[in-house]
Amino acid sequence: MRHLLLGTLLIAGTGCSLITVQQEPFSPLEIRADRPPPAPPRVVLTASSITIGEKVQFATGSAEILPVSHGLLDEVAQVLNDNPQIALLQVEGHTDSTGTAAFNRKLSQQRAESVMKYLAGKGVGAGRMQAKGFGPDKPIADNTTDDGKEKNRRVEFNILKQGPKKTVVHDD
Amino acid sequence: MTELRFLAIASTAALGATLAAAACGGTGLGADTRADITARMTSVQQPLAACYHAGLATNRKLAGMMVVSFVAAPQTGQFQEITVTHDELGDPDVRKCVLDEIGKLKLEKPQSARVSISYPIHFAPNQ
Repeated sequence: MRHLLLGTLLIAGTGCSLITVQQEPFSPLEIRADRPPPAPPRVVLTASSITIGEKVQFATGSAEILPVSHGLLDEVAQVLNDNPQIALLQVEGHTDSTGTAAFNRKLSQQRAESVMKYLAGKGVGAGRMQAKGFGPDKPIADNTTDDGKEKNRRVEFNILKQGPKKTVVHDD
Repeated sequence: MTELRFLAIASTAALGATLAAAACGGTGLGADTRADITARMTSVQQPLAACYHAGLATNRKLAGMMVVSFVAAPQTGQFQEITVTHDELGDPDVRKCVLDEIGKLKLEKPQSARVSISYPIHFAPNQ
């Protein structure tokens, strides 16, 4: 009905000047396109860890988690809630070698605790997690380059203890 | 079922235009003009596929029918007054992209009268 009205208005708007209109509908023009490949998951559960495809972002020199990382941590929490067989997860904080080791260990410990607290707020049992700040002690890249330092500043989630995964079998 | 829906949508639009034209003394499309319009629309299949592909990047489930109405101007055949009268995709960027592409078209054999057209476009992802 709306199309009928639209068609009428279309013609009426021309002031009844000479006009040619279609009387039979056209066959639809078929448009096909490939779906782009799905984005790789940001959070992946492996046998010994939960790996994250992005970094957890903190305010500079602080343990405050930036809002941009909340979605990522929500996904980590979801993985933990979906996998109750993970009995103990170690949330690890790591820094680069800039500054004193003592300060970095303290900051990384505070950041790991901050992440743990956030996850607990999303329903992950606090008893299933522990926080550990390693500071600059476990670098994974060269601390003499900016790129290497960037890689070393990170949060990791390592599974320390887990039971067998329960398999749910549906009747149908 | 989907094709029936296409037909219903396109038929309603075409019927509306026909009734209004009858009231105003308009005439129907000739076979040559219909073929010309179809050829022009078919010529933008690839650009429209690019519009759709861009939309799929943000919504992998994007699919459905869009009906565009437009006028081919007398003498020049330029497609103008292009509007979307039905849109199941609901993606404003895809809609704008489609309108822009159709706005580049013109009939190869322009008519002396304005030609009013309603054209359905069906978007579906490759399996």
